[in-house]
Amino acid sequence: MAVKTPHIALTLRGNSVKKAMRVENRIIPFKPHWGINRHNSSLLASTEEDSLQLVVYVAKTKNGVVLVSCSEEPQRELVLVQEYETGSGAKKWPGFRVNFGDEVCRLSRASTCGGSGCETWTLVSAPLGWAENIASQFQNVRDVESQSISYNPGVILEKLPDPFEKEGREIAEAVTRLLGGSADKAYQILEREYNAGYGRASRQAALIRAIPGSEDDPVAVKLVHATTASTLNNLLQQALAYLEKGIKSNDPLVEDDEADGLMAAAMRKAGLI
Amino acid sequence: MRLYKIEYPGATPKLMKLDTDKGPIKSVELGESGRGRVHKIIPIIGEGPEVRAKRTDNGIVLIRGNWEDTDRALVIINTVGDYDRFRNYGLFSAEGVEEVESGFFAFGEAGRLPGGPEMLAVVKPGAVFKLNSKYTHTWYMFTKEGWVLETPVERRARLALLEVEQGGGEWL
Repeated sequence: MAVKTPHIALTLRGNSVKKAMRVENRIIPFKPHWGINRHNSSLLASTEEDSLQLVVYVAKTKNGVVLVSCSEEPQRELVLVQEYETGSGAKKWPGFRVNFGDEVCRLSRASTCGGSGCETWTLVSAPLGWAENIASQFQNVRDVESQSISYNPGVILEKLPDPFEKEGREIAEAVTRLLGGSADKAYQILEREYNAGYGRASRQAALIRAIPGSEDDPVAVKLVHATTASTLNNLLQQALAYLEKGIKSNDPLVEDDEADGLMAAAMRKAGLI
Repeated sequence: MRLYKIEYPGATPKLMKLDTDKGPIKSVELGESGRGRVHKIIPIIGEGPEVRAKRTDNGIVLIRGNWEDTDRALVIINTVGDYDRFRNYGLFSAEGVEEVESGFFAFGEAGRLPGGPEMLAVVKPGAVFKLNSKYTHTWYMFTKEGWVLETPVERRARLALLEVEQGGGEWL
């Protein structure tokens, strides 16, 4: 009988490791933020399910990789590595590359073919802790050179603070407040615009429409008037990460006193407390 | 047999209307006329909702009638669409497709730039072929229920899943 190794499914992009992999029409889609992908016909992986569990079995076939959800203790990581070079509007931000060593098994790959910036997504099977190790070494700081990172099992560096983390958190709280205290609704709206395929201006217009009062709110205005696509993406990403954490832990979305006051007021207004 | 038309690579096959506001259509045309091109006119005769192709000494004729005894279909396939400098036009990886007649589209005044055929073909259920368009290609499959179109990624995903279902592949 074939031995199947349970893998935990992760997405690695720069210094961010997400415990999930996006599935669309039963395919792991290649949707780069930079560059264009109209020539791409590479299949990253397919699955029979509409959404993947956190732990999966992995099969290699001659037509591509197949993922099957399972509920066992993971023994390895299945990582979707999103390497990128930033494009127009974010040239001062570092690109992210990974040097794949013998410790990983590369399964599939998809690349952009032109446009501004470029991306290569690679699906790899790696030892546990690999993605976190790579992410901890990447410095996502403006004016720092692009980095090509190798797995260094002896070192887990303390993560540098993401410059968008604080702003993202503030925005998440502001949007939740503007939507009457519903973190789920805020998450849905922000996620839809984060995943939207159209441009920055259209996404911002959609956000203004979906979040009443966002154009006048001093915090939310950072989101709806972000000057580059990259900034908008980073803000949305951080806001989503913060909201996700709050929703999962079922905690109030705030930590400091000032924000707690705003949140509590919004929740009181909505009749939630 | 029903008569479908694929207007360009990537287009969904459409059922051709044999009767229009101006009356029944008298013929279908394949290709175009001119230097380096081939233009064919196939007459349609008779009455009825479906057609059948008949080969005569003077060419192909489509005869209308109640031909419901077959699950095959006729299809006009334009393999060219718009001009693209480095594209190979044609019908690729075809299985279950029988060409009946074809015309030819070309580009350039002298017709010496790359061109490709527009063909009338009979397809049977299970037929499959591929057409190239500018940035990708599209797989066409004719089934008893109708046409199924797939992008290369969708096709590979389906085949990979099928392989695993049948016990193939290598588990990591």
